[in-house]
Amino acid sequence: MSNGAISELMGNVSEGWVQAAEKAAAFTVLVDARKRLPGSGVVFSSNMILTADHVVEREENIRILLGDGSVHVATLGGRDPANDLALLRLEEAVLTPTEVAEREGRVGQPALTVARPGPEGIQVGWALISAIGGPVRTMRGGLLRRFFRLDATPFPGFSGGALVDLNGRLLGINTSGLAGGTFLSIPVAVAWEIGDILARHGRIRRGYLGIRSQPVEIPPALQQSLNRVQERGLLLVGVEENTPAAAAGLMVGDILTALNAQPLNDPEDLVSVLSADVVGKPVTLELLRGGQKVEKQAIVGER
Amino acid sequence: MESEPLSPRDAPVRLALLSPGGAIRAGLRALLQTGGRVEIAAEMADVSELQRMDERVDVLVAVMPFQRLAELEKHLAEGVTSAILLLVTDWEEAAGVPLPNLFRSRAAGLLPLGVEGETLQAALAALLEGLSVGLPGWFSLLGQPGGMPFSPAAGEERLTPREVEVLEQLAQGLTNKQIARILGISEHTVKYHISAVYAKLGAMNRAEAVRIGARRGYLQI
Repeated sequence: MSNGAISELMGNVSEGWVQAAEKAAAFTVLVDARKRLPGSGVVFSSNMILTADHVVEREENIRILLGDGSVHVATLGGRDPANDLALLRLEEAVLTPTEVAEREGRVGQPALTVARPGPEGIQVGWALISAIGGPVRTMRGGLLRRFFRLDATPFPGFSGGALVDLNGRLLGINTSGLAGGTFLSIPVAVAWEIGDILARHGRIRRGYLGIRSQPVEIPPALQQSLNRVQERGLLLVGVEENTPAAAAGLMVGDILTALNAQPLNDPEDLVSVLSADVVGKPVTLELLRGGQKVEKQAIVGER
Repeated sequence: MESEPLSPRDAPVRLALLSPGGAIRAGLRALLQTGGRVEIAAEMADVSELQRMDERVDVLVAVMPFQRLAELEKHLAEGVTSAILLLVTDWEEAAGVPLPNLFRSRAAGLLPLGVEGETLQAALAALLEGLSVGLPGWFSLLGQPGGMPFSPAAGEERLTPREVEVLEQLAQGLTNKQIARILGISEHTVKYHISAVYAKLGAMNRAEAVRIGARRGYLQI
């Protein structure tokens, strides 16, 4: 290849990246819903935006700044705190549709992170999809089915912003709020599915048993009844009437230790395993009752 | 403390009430009968009346000072009844003494004076399953140390029922507006409740409030 050809190729490649950033700029917005630096958001439909739930601290006077410099007031359409996503609604259908990548992001794929941290314009960074993880329990008490771990440089407005391929098509929605400040992106397929549910129902379906509990230490003698090392369980302090837990015969004073063989150390563990996909399904509850291991079957309800 | 349940689930449970105070018995009757499973078979004002107690009573609920337990034990030892004993007494007095013999010789439970209906129902259900109800310290004496639940620090305020309702909605990820609509109150009031919940739980934000609230047994899951 001649020097001229290489130079032309490089020119085309760099022009491609510039165009990718420009394309992403059209669907990456600024979300002003907290006192600190604003976050970003990604256009979900002509009047809806998906952003990171943790950047939406304020529910009134949420303002959206678009690429054309116009400012719009948005209302909160729904939150999924567990997956750190929130849906915002605009009065008018003025948003530029997002172009979604046809193929899911892959490990090793180079991409761009795009944010709109201020009225000056977008900010773009390099990001490599360094790993694909999940399902994993997040710090926010949810079960994230799948996520991209990013090798990326952080900058203001990162959360809620777009992860795009080198053609400017959406691969994911970025957040630093799910795993102690590490840089993740929620794959667009997962984010869009949650967005659809929030748009239709305003909230996420969750499984429900009907118990109130407190984490307690399981003494070593009782751990032997479980045949495993598990230092904590959930002491039931309330079993609500006419609930799946009541129907299964759970009682105040029982220590709930596992659901479908998944150990429960904290009420958050229970929230995690009671995701939408177990609603209506039978589950096996493992309990300590009077020092003995007992198993009960329950049909998970819905909240 | 293993024993066969005395009554199959859903069959009526026959209770006898023992308390010198008519008002206290009336209060207990109201608390116990809300469960729907309970039938009050006898009411007595004094332990001496135990002689005429129906043998088919499943549970004897006695409200009396802890010091008079020996007297009750004496009458029960005469083989009047094999009913489960549920003693409602001054919890602090009871905490000062080791497990009374009575609790070793028969299925028995102990609850503090001023017990709420929900707790009373839960205790009754546990006793009927052949379990023990009482002070955590006692069960370590029986060689079955129970887990120690979270106990609120001195001076820590409990959430009001309304605040718990708001916390339940926060846990669903609902917005202030949605919460206001569901509870039929203004958004302003919702915000007021939320800040009270944060203050009482020592939470900085929604996720933290939900996490702490769940750990303290406020949230239904």
